[in-house]
Amino acid sequence: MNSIAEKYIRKEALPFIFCPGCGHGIVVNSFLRVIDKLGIKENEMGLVSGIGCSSWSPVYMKFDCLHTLHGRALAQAEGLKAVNPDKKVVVFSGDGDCAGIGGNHLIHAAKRNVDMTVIMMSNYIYGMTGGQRAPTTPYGATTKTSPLGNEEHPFDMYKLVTGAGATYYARASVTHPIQLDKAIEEGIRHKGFSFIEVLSPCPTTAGRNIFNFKTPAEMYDWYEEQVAVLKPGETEAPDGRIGLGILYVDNKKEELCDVQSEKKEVAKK
Amino acid sequence: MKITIDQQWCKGCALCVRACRKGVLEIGHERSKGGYLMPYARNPEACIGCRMCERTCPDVCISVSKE
Amino acid sequence: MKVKKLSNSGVKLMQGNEACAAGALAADCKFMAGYPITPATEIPEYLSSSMFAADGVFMQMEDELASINAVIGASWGGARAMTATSGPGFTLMQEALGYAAVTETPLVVINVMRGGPATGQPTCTSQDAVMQARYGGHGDYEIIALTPSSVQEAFDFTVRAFNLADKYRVPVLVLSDETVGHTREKLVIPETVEIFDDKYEGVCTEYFKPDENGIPPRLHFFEGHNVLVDGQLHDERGIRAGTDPKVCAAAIRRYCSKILDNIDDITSVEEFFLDDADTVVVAYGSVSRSALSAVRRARNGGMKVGMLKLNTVWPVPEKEIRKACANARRVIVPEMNVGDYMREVQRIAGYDKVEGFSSIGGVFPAPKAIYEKIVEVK
Repeated sequence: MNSIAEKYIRKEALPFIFCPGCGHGIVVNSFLRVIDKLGIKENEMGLVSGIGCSSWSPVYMKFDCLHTLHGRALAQAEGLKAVNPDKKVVVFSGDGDCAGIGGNHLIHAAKRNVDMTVIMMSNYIYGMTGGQRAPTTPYGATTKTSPLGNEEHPFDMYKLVTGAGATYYARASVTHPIQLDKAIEEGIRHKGFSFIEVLSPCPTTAGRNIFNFKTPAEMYDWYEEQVAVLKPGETEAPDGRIGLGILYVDNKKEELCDVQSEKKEVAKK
Repeated sequence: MKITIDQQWCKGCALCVRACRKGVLEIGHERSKGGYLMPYARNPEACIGCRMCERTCPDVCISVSKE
Repeated sequence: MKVKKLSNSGVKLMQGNEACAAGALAADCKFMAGYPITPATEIPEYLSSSMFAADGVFMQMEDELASINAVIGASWGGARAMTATSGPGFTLMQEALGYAAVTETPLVVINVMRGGPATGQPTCTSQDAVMQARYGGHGDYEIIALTPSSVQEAFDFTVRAFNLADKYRVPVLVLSDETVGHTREKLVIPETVEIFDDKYEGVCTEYFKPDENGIPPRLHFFEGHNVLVDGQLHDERGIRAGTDPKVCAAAIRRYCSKILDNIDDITSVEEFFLDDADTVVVAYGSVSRSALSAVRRARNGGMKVGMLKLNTVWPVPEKEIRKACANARRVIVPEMNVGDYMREVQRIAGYDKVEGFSSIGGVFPAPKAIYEKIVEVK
């Protein structure tokens, strides 16, 4: 175990539930490195997640953790944050959990600009249940529940979340761990609703069963071909690949907990 | 550089082998506690300490340190 | 228990819904999340400013799913937390209520019952959520449900609900109804209320290890425990154990036994004229007031009628019902549903002598109607 993990991993919960080569473990790895760098102490941060493979991530970390119901991580996180405005709250979620069953909570949490960080690990598939269509599955893509090709278009998460009112949006990929660290670090530093979309391949139910990748490495090679690290100021890659980077930051919008504190003062008078 | 791979938790995904651009790591014949074939440092002298294997390991089981 | 002095004590004229809200504030509730729904809306309206004045937070959420889940989050965050809803909203909350039961999260839900099913009768009174309160979620667990019948009880029972929730680490329901919620009458806010405030000392690593009463430590986030809260069945450390039959069976049994084994502490009933009663009325909530009026009238007419008023319907006050009905020839259960709780009374008091008196369609049973049921010749 690496030295940072040694400090923060809840050993009695091991091993990670993730399949070999699952991107979610790389996100855990990156997140711990960022926490260590930022010097965030155990009592300063609460972790919340929903249901799905990615939502197991915070369970393995030695922080207070709420592993909630499918889709409801953000709602529980908002309650937790509302009564602890001085604490950091980080939500780990998957594309299905966050944009599918929890989609209404997502747009409303973004609308409120509540100070929390959401790490959405997107594998374009429902991994835990065996490879069904997700709200992010590309149009025409084959899954277990779209064997004839996806009839629906996917969400554009960037437009959805920033359109709803989020004040930080970054896209990262586990194939680029240094940029992933950066996206998470800036997201945690940002005051307001920070959303980090992490491309995190599912080498088992998507890779092996649907796309016929023989190994995780093969799938990661393919992912690497699909992404491009954006230059500062860019929100899209010029060649049409999926852009990685910090796409949007707004430091002006009022943050919910600050406003709630003001209301307390007004109401007490 | 010393590359340690935790036999307890390694799942043999070989992403570390892929991450290393210097060809230091290779899947060997030894199995981890979970029964997966594990990587090992075939030529540690080529390691430049970039830690991409450590960052990439989804089971946080690689640590790279100066000997 | 600590004693809290109330700054707003005295005689008030208040509505039942407002009394629930006032009770919550008296009980040190610091977080309310809700979604507007008739006939419960006055509760979030009341708390939307007064909660902030009490140094708490009110949030109007996007739906009832968000409301109850935010309450769970706030509860683990260390605040006494509640939501209020009715009919369809309560249905939406069932999954999270099961989660709260399994994660042993203290919280209070006020369900101002209205007529169902579905959108049903939004503005009409009902008691048709009495079984849903207990059996609404999947899986086996026990909850506590209190049934206020007046504005005073709306206040008092809400305070008690918070204490029970904290004491037993369980979601507690205040099953009010449209009649109680929208009745405006006298409320005496007491000088002081008792607040359950048992705090865990030190650092805990076995977050769900029960004490001798079957209740886990009373922990919150950010106290240094690194609590792991999981809706999957888990061991005493919070670690998932969904495939371990021994751990899971013990956990499920404890979610039930921690309530059932302490039933005497939880149960609250009131007895009227039971000593010589050969006809017994068992009633709860707003209907019990109408029923008591009918029972008194029948008594005045020389009938040996008594009444058992249930202030708690879950867990079922079996002992009290059995005792009250033991010598009765006839037991009548008036309620505003098709006879839901009547079946509970039947299984305890005996099938043959228990009759329902069902009032549905949004009609509150007047004392006269219940009186006529009592005196009818069989």
